[in-house]
Amino acid sequence: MTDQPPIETIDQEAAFEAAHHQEEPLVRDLPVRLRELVSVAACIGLGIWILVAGKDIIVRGTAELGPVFWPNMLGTGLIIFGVVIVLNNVLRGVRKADVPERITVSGIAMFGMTLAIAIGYLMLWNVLQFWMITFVALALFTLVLGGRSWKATLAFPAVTTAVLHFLFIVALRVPL
Amino acid sequence: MIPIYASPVTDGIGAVLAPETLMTIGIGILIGMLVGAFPGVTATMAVALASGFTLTMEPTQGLAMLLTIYVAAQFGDRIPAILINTPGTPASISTTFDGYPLARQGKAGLALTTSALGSALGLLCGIVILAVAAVPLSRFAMQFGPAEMFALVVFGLTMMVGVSSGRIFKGLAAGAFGLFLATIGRDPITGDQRFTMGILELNGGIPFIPVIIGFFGLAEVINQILTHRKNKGVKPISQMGQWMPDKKLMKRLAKPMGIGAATGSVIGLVPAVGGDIAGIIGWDNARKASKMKHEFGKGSIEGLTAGDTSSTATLGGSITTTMALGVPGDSVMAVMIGSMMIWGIQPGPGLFNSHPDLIASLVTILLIATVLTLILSLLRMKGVIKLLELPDHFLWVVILVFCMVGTYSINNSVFEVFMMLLFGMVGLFMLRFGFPPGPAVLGLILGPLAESNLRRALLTDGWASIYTSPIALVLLVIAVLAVTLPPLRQLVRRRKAANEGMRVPTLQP
Repeated sequence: MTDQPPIETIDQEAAFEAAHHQEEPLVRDLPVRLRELVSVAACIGLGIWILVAGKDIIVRGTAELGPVFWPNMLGTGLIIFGVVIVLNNVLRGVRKADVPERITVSGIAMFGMTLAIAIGYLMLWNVLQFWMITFVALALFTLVLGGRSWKATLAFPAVTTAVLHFLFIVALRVPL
Repeated sequence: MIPIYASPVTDGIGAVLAPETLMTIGIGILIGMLVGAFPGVTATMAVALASGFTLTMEPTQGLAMLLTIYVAAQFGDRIPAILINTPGTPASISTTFDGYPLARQGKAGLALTTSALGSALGLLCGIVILAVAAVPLSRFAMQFGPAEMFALVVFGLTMMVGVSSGRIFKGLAAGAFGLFLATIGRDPITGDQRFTMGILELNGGIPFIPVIIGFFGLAEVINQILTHRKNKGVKPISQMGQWMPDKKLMKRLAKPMGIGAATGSVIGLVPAVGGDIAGIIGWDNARKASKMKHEFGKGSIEGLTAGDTSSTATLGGSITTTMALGVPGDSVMAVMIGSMMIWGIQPGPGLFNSHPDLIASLVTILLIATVLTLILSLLRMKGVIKLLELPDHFLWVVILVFCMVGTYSINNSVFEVFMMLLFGMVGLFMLRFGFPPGPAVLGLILGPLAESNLRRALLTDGWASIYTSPIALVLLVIAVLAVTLPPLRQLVRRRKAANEGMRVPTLQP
């Protein structure tokens, strides 16, 4: 697989900074800060949900150190971490290394189709024979993800299906 | 005199030398080398995927497979680092500093060979540490009661969070999320149902192998698919030049290898600090000690071997803390703990009492894996260049299908495959928004241990049981320092810079 950053992107300085916990330049663009708010919402939202859902737990006996004690601690902790992320990431900015690579339109299309094939594959698992559905799924996955030649869409799925059949059904005796 | 034929040592070695186990080691080496050679497939991802099909094996065979993949990936990941300047796994970041410049100078063969020798030496040092330190450390940890065990889990979690520099608070949130996931199901003390939302399958808790495969396998692949761009590839260097180092060069390499081995061995004992950080620090230490500092970063064989020796020397320490304390040395070990628990082996204090032959098995597996992988690495494998040119979609498809079939094979449960898909999406969210998945997995695995021990300690003697225990107190103080010191240091540095009238570095336009 060759689609990784080329030589220029392996930044020795950045690697040292990360390894030695040194100060790194911060990104303070508005979209990046707004993006961090999603993380905050996730932490605080989950924390609140845990506290609310914890009230539905049926407690027998003493409640003080009962089944709700630990989830309540975690829910409160998540809310606190959410607030700290506001101070640390939203107001202060984030490291360049923490800004993820941009998603592409073709990537979203490939992802959507891959997910649909994966769910279809799973639903038909117990309906059709494993080797048959696996061969078809592999061919479709390869086609969707960029394979076009006969080797990619026929030979590769056939060989991979044979390997999977041997490993899981013959060697490990998984009832597939 | 104890008869040799009946000792745990011979039992442990004998279990590994069984033909089936040797075969799994051979398969593990091939998988590990391939995994390492493909950038984007980390050792953690490979071990997570392999845990899907190793759970049905005998524990020794399963352990042999997982450990061998880990060892072999340490060799394989140097190949793309040297030939295309892309680390195969994070542990080979330091390899790119001098490996690729060497390859550009026409010394790729020499770089690959010396890198393999350095990696093997580092691994051997790590194995010695495991053999010497694991049992005494485990015996010491046998004294731990509920308060100390709770402190140990918190220590392990925060160490894993603390090394994710710059993402400490997100790491803590990820850890808390993992701990919360572990609360789903039945309460470990009272047996009351919690957060099951009426789903019968959740009564037994969230199955952690599907979560691990989702987080480390599916999420990574989907992220690569989402960010895929055409024509991003780099052509690997194909001029190999000389392969074997001469005597004079080997003599020159003794010092950097020694520095790397010492650095990695010490760093490896710090839980959660992986080979990536050790490699960089080892490279830096060798540069400081070298007479030819100017060559470092521009194609220094010394720098290359020091970094590689250091990064692989962490492996022994990492396995030691995982097995003896139950605190994973890195994310691969966090995944491995999950598999071991399913085999009925609970890493932590008392492990070597209940499985006295295990230490001998571990050492033998690692030794065989290291020697065989070194031999394989020294073969002049020009074919590996072809592998680096393989299109992404082949790898993605294989990983996707392995994620699904591997998860199903654990309990023959379609529900668990759906769980894996769900947690793949959760993992993708975490990946895109900067939450490290390692602490979440660790929280999920160690959650019941943390919760039950804390509650037991509090029920026995209240909070006093924690602050009156010196061991618990020391572990908790280190844990607090691990997460508070890095941001405090940054704050002080920024204040200092502001007082001196300097601008705090930002990338704001």
